Amino acid sequence: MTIIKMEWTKLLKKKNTKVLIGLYGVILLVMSGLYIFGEKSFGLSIYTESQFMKATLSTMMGFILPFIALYLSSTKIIGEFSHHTIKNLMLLPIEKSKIFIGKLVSVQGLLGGLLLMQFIFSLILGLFLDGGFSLGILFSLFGDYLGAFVILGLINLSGALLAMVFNSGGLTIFIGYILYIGMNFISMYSATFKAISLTTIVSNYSSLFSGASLTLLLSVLAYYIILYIVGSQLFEKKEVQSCQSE
Amino acid sequence: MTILSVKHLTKSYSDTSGIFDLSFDIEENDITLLLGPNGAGKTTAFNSILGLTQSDYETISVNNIGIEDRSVFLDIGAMISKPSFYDYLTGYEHLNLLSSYYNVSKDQVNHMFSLVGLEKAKDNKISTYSSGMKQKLDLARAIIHGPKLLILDEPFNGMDIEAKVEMKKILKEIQNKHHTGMIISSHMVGDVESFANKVIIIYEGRTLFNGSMSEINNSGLTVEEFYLEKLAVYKKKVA
Repeated sequence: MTIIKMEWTKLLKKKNTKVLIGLYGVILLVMSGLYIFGEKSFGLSIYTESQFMKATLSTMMGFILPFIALYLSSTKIIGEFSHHTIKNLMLLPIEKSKIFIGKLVSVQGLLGGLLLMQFIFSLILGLFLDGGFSLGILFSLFGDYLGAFVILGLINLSGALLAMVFNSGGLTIFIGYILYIGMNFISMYSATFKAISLTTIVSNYSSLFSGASLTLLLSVLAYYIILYIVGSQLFEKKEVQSCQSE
Repeated sequence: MTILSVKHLTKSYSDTSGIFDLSFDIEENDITLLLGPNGAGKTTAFNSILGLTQSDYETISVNNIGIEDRSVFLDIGAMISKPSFYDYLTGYEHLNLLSSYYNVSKDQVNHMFSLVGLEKAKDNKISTYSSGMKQKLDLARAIIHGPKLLILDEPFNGMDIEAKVEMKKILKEIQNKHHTGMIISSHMVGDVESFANKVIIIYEGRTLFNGSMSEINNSGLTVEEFYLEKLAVYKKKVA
């Protein structure tokens, strides 16, 4: 727990994180503003409030949240190595594997925080505009957000893994998106690949906790196990760049 | 009592770079000077001992417990070459954060700042610290838990004479209080020879001398002369 608290504190103290949370809030506000403006000024009824909540999540999951997950996990892992601050942690009485977990959990915590912020924000908006939701809709919405949280965990792990391979946050995001496009492309030609592709899993976040197929659930579990094992092994072997001239 | 035991440590980058078959022991109250020019392998030796880089060795143990057991780091304090800091934190936040693995109170954290003379700067962002102040902060981090073993890699880098004297005083105090064994690397002969009781001279990763300061004193040579003599013998042998 100490390492998670430590990583969490560092993450929140960073200026970039504060800017990111602020930007995310602004995007939410703009989206909601457009919705209210369209609803009230022009009498448009494109979405019901619950659909709006799903739609905002879908929009965010389409690009913004995966990008944030990749950015956070890659910089959290590789940033410490490139700035050599990882030495501070490696001198503590703690296993490297726990440092890796601490970093992943802190990033996942922040992603969860962003999702929660969005959930509460949309919920309040819905309550004001629509007067409330039925319990069934609320559970369904919660399932969507929980599914998104789990799927973002996979992107978080993937980002950490790619960052350790490519040693760069920027390159990780670039390669991440190339892989994303590549997997989508192959999925167009191979149904078998499509069934287990990470891109399929990401796009199916909303059905993860509501009528998901066994294949999807097993695929998510398998990805978690594989990515974690490979990631932790890479982290274990990763050395602090020592200056050979000393 | 042996605090640190290193046996047959090797980390090779090339024939003349790295560290080759280094063995030594540090006892309680020992202050060992690891002396060698830039590129001799001092940092490589420390990084290998601390597990920051992978190396081959027969034994690296602290208080008879292998370095693979992370609990030994409760007894180790280390200042590594070119220390890095969380620049976006204040000095206090940095030290408080990194001491959270030790049973250290907030009073102790505050005490460390007065001990190293950073009391007034503790609430300033580390990005505003000078290199000497950063060295002091790193020393505070290394000693906050009262370690039994201190590994200090070029601790006087970037320090003016006054700060060096202060730091030596602090190190002496720690030694007296906790019977701490220390190994201090330097490429400058004058830095710690006055209070070191053991000397290891390395060059191109090879150990040229591993003995007591009294051996050097008995030779009738100064540390500087002794060092140059060992170097000349090695170079002649290699040539």
